[in-house]
Amino acid sequence: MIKDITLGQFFPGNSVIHKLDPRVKIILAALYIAFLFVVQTAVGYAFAIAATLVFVSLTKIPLKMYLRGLKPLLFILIFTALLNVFYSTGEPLVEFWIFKITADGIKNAIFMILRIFMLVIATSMLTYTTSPIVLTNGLERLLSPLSKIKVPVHEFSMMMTIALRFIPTLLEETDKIMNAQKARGADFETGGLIKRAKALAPILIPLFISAFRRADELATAMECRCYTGSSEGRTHLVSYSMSGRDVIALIVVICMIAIAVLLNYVRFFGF
Amino acid sequence: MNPILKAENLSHVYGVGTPFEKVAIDNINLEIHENEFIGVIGRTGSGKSTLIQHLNGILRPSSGTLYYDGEDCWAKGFSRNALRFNVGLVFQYPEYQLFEETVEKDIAFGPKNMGLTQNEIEKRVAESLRFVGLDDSVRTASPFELSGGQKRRVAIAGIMAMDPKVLILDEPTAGLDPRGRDEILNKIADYRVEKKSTVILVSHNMEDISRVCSKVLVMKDSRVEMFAPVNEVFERSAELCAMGLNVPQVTRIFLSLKEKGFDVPTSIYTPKQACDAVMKLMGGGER
Repeated sequence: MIKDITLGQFFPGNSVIHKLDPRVKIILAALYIAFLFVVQTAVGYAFAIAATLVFVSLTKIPLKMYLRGLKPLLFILIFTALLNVFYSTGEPLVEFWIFKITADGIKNAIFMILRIFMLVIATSMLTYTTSPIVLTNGLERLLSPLSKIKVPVHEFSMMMTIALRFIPTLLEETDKIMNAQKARGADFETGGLIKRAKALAPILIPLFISAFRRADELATAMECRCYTGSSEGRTHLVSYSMSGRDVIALIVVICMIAIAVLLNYVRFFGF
Repeated sequence: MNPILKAENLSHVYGVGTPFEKVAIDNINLEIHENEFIGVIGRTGSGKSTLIQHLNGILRPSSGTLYYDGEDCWAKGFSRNALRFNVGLVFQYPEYQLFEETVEKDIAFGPKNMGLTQNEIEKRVAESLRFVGLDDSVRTASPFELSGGQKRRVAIAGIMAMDPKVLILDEPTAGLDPRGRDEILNKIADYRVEKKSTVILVSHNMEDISRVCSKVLVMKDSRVEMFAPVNEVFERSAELCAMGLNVPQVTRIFLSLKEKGFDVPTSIYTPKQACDAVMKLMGGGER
């Protein structure tokens, strides 16, 4: 069902990771992604998997939740793996017709899958442990130097906050409208492409109307509270300051990258 | 007589396996017979909406069975679409589901999905417009030009046009002014008499329920707390109050009269009964 979409969902909690400064968390996620691309060898991947599992357990969110976010990517994963297996150079292990499978190809495929797995887990970790509002707040603070060169950072972050805020609302609304039309015998599952596209009208039209209505109401409500954008020196409800915890986290991830670089020179049996 | 709808140990859990897991209805057993007019009450979050969405097969029970006319609705080969035509469900704020260019096209959406002939659809549209008390002149109007109350009526007509055996309405009078509320309620009551159908009405308004319904189903914390004829339920007014539910104004007056030491019955829920009781008290009392 539509409610089962987990990517970008926030799981409230009280873990060490939840408590990190959002600005630091965004930087950490970026560094972590860099780390995953530095890793090249089997030993390096073992290290990365171990590190990822440690971080997952620190969030106190079951691993199952992270893996659920991978389900929609399954097709892409298999596709990239197959491409890697068949399109690699090197000495072929097996050869038939125009295909040849090389040891290098298999290695690349496995590494690629592991890398995508960990990329998804790392980014999910950021959104699972940070509420969307805090996340955009952090992003706004990180990007605020850009406002010096006239980039409307505040406006962008406000738009993003609003968009994120309304995703669950609109999903819920879609669900409701779908059910209401199903109650009138609407059929969204069978028929050819054109029939299915036509069947969407009873959902999309009410959805758009209600989205516009909501936007209108929200704009009025914001104006009633004298919102004028960033022009008049707005201050923030929460101000963030880095704590010891944040510094430690940064040091740990930077050390991980250093270790990963070093591990690239350690190879077992050529992997 | 066999019940038209029967729920057996019906339970539904939202968000299984997530931190947001919530039991919405818990082990519901229920029998609804033909031609009954049932009012459903309960506080927000007591499971009313979840329960009624099971009755037309929109939601699949986590456990338990729902029978329509003796048939298991989730058995293999049972057509849920046919069930939805037989059990019409009007959602809360149904005007938000309107989408067609004209009122008549929107009302015809359900009958069209049933695969009826153009003639029959035409007849159903005219009939249901009459049921909800809308003038023929609105037929070619865009539903989005109408007033809130009129939109609501068009949406209700859209379900009535499917000619369901059971009509379920989730708070059909929410957000309407008192006059609009009474009008819609009367139309629904008239519809039931004319069509001899079963009607289930979810409402927060006790006056509404006491005025039109024959039986009341009280939900509390995902369970059925009471399911009995109206007078029997209002005899337990004190319990309803303790549950945080409203009882009709007259009932409240008689409850406080009783508290003040007057010898009056507390199962009163219509002005007529109240009048009789007061007369009896005055006649028997000292002047």
